[in-house]
Amino acid sequence: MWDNEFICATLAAAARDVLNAEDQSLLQKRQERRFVSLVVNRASRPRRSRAVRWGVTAGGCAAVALLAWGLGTLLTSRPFTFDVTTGDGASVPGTPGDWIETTADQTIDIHFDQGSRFRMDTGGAVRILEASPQGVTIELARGNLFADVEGPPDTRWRINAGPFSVHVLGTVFSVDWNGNTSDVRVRVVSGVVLVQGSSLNHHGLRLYAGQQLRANGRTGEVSVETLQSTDHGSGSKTSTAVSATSESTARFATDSAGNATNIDTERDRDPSTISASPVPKAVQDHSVRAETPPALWKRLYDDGQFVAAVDAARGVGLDVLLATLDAPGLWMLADAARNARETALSNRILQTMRQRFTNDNKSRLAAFLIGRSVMDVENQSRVAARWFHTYLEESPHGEMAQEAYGRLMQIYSKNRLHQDARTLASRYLAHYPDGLYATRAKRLLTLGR
Amino acid sequence: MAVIPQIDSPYSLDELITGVLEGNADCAIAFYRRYGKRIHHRIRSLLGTDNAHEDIVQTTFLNILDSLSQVRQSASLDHWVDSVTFRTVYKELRRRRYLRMVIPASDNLPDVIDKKNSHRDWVARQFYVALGQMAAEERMMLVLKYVECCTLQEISRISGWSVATVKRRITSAVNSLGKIARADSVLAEYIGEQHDVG
Repeated sequence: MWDNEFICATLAAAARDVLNAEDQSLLQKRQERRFVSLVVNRASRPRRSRAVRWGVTAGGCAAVALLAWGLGTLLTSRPFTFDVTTGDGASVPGTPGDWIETTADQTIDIHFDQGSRFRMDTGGAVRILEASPQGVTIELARGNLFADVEGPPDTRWRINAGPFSVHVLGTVFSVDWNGNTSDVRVRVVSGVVLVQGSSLNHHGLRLYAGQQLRANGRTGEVSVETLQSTDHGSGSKTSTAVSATSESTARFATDSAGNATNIDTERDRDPSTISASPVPKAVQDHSVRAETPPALWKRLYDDGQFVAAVDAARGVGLDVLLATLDAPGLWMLADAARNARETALSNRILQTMRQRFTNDNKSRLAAFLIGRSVMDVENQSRVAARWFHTYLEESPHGEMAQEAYGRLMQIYSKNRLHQDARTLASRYLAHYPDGLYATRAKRLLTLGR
Repeated sequence: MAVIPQIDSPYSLDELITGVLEGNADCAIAFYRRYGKRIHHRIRSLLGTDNAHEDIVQTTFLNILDSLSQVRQSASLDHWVDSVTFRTVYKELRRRRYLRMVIPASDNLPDVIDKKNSHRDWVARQFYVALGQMAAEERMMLVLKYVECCTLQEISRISGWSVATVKRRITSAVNSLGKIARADSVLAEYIGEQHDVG
């Protein structure tokens, strides 16, 4: 019938036409900013593979939980070991589970054999719960902990601070936390970071390279902005991201100095002794449950961050949005869900749209879209067929009518409902004698003879 | 898309490499404008519309930056960037197969709203679904040859495989796609229509 070369050339041409018709300019602009930021920052930081510097304090009432997301294979090598070094240089091997406490005037460094380093600031307490190539879990009871994490991205680094946890994996970003004002700023240079806690719901908010989040744990305000690339237009090797990290370091030091006044300075301990004694709880749960600003999900959608947009919408409350959004808003939210691969949610939104805005043109189109997703994603051809019929009843000459006919003919043929297929084919040819599926329709009628 | 678009740049290729390695923002912008669109398009061609597209583009640029200092001859920079892109996508496809993830790459093609191209969008979607059933090597060879219209020599240079290997894989890919397409009613219908028109 057709040779394989013809098949390949024909299908490839169709794919090429579709690809060439796509407008990727917004995406490429975004990527350009990220690339430039990456180039500038890589040159300005010390040569380390996947080194991350940030500070975490458990003294505030609205900290954030960060999840740097990545994929990798499990490692099966031996556990990590670590040494504990005091300010005067004395170093002892560390033991998982033992508390490490610092006095009001001394810091302690923790060095892992695989290269990562931590510094417990004055008046703090921390312990390593688990240390293996699969994961390192650290419990921060109080104080300010600086981290310089290195090594393969397959190792999950997690720091528990009261009710919050911070996860780090192969991402370059900075966290700036002010416990006095409960302000946090997260900047992502490369990779993806998930921010959770306080005014964000448990799904969190994903930040991509080139984005910055500002949030306040008391007021619940959250904003996400895209960092401009013009800051480095002069060609200078420094960048706003590097400067911010330096500022963060200084600010943490300040916070730490401020928090130290709360430490029990009457305690008299030998700083070189590793303590196994119980440590008071780190923080109380001061997280403030507030709603994510309603405009945030729309901003994320406009920026193409569909997963984050859906997460942000959940933060507002899906039931609230479904009840209050206008038709264009529901359409946008459904599109976000579809692009975030949440087909069921997308269909739910479209069905709500159909119920609330019966006469809207897009509500009629929604019937087709639901049918298409049910057919393509869920493989429920009979349910899909009902939706296509609904669409054709409501929009007999709608913009997707031909495709609805085409899909129905396919469903009926596949399910050996030949009589139904022929009836449909006749209807189709009556409306579209030279239409896209005319050949298929004629073939179906021919088969029936 | 076998030819690098000639974008006016005040920098030579040597200056671009040096500037990017030194963290020069202007060079970074020039570098991206020279290769960004190409990389995007190539990855889109190889994977179809994919949720991980941006991440894979990002990974490609990271891989480029990681090994840019190893480029010996600036004149080969264009081909080298193609190779890095190819290897990044190849690794991703192999990883997905290893993780047994089934990613309907075409699931996120834009809503078929355009009356003119609705059917072709559907066909393109099914084309990538069909590619998803093929081995990574076959899929990539087929895309480079038939979608990107690269010559065998270009494909050999991009992939690092010999021309003989490329030829063999393309033949295998063509046969695989032919078999899959004949069994797919959407693709078969479209091919039939095009055959009749031709």
